[in-house]
Amino acid sequence: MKKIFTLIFSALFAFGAQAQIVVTDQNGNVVPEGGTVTFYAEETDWGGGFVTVDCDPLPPYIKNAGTASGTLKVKVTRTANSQLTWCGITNSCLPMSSTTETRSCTLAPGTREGLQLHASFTSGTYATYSAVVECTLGSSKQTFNVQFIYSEDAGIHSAQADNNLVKLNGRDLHYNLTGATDGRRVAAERIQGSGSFSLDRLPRGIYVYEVVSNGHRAARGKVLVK
Amino acid sequence: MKNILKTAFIALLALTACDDIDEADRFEGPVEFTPKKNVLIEDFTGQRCLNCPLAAEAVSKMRQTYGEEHVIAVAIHGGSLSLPDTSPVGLANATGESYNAFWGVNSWPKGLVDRGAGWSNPSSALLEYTSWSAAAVKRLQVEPAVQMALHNTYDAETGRLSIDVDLTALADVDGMVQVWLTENQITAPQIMPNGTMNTSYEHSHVFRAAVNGEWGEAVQLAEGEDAVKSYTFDLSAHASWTPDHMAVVAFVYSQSEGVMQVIDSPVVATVAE
Repeated sequence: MKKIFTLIFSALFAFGAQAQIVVTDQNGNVVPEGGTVTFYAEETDWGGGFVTVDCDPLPPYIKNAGTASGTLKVKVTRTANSQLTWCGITNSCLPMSSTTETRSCTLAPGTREGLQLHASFTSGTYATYSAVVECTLGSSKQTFNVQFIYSEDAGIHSAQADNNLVKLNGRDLHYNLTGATDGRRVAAERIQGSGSFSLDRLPRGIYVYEVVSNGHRAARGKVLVK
Repeated sequence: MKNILKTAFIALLALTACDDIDEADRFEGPVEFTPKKNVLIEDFTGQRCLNCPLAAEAVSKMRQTYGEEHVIAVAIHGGSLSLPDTSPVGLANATGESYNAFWGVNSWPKGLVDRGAGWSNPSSALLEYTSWSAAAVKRLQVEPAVQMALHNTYDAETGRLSIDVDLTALADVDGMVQVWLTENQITAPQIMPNGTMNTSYEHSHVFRAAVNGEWGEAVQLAEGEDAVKSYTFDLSAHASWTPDHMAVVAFVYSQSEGVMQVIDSPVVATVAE
């Protein structure tokens, strides 16, 4: 009797269950079919003259939004000039020597895997790397693009604070702050690539700002809010 | 059609479902055993390797499960995901790079458990960190061919470290004795599995130097024979190393047998109060 019930239950489950891919970017937005996710490189000076320029993102995330487990297969095809290391889907971080690599893993319903495709640039040699990512999970498929940009604006070369505004590399750095002005930290936020940091809501006074990139203090100064 | 086939397959599985097994006859977990020898884990790692902290965690669990004296780990930094020791926070040195190159490590983390099955194709001995525990369990149950003891004397004033490696052959031994220095509690940056950089990560068992040459010194002993191998090392030449956190790792290996035995001992002995 027990086996008959198991059979009936399994049959019902088989008809309803399926796996479904949903890809999201670093901000939680769904990446459409053929869409592009972009990351910006950051420079890190480790001391002793050793500088690295890397993008080390976890996303985009590949989620099984369906009701059944499945084998997720991910194929990455990089452009010839792209120096990419792939750490996701399996246990190893492998610098990609071939143009194409395919990895797979089992993805349970409701769980996700970060692609973990990383880019390494040569300091001072500005470039854009890209890769096409093809995902298959059961009958569900999706293709999207990943882009890594190392431009002259990466890293912080100049910092200015004036008239309620902090400027980095000549560009305005805006951010909305709430908080007190008694010497305690008012706010801290991670900005990747581009973002805003406005001081408009702060009471009048003198503030100290500090910009940290990859664990290193890249800029520090004072700003007067009038 | 696909769903019909799927149902038929599941039906077949359902009709061959599990039997009831008496509670007394059920398998309830790993078989307990007493280690017969110690095992060496060579963990090829890098500070820019996102998955590498997971391997370090796996090593830590193995040492908790089987005993720290029985599972001896050495983290060898090198390769394109490492930071060179020319940087103040880098842990990869020339000898570590040489080991990476010899074993053909091109992805990280990867490891050797007692140096694997042989050297004719070095990279074939490399294992994913998820396989280290199973490989270690097998090697822990192998009869040791040699018994080892370590005696270290460190002179803090001169920085001179004297090392005596006592060997007693339990079977005929034809191999190499290798002596390394490692260091624990090194605070240095490490990329974490969640993609962030942990600038205060504590690195353990970091390979610092080979005391007696990159591949050690030849040793041949007949069964029952004893030998003492003595070495010295000048720690004063390495100001950034902390002797109190360091250990000597000594092991005997051959290309055919892998690591026959391994032991470690602190550079600075802890004096009981």
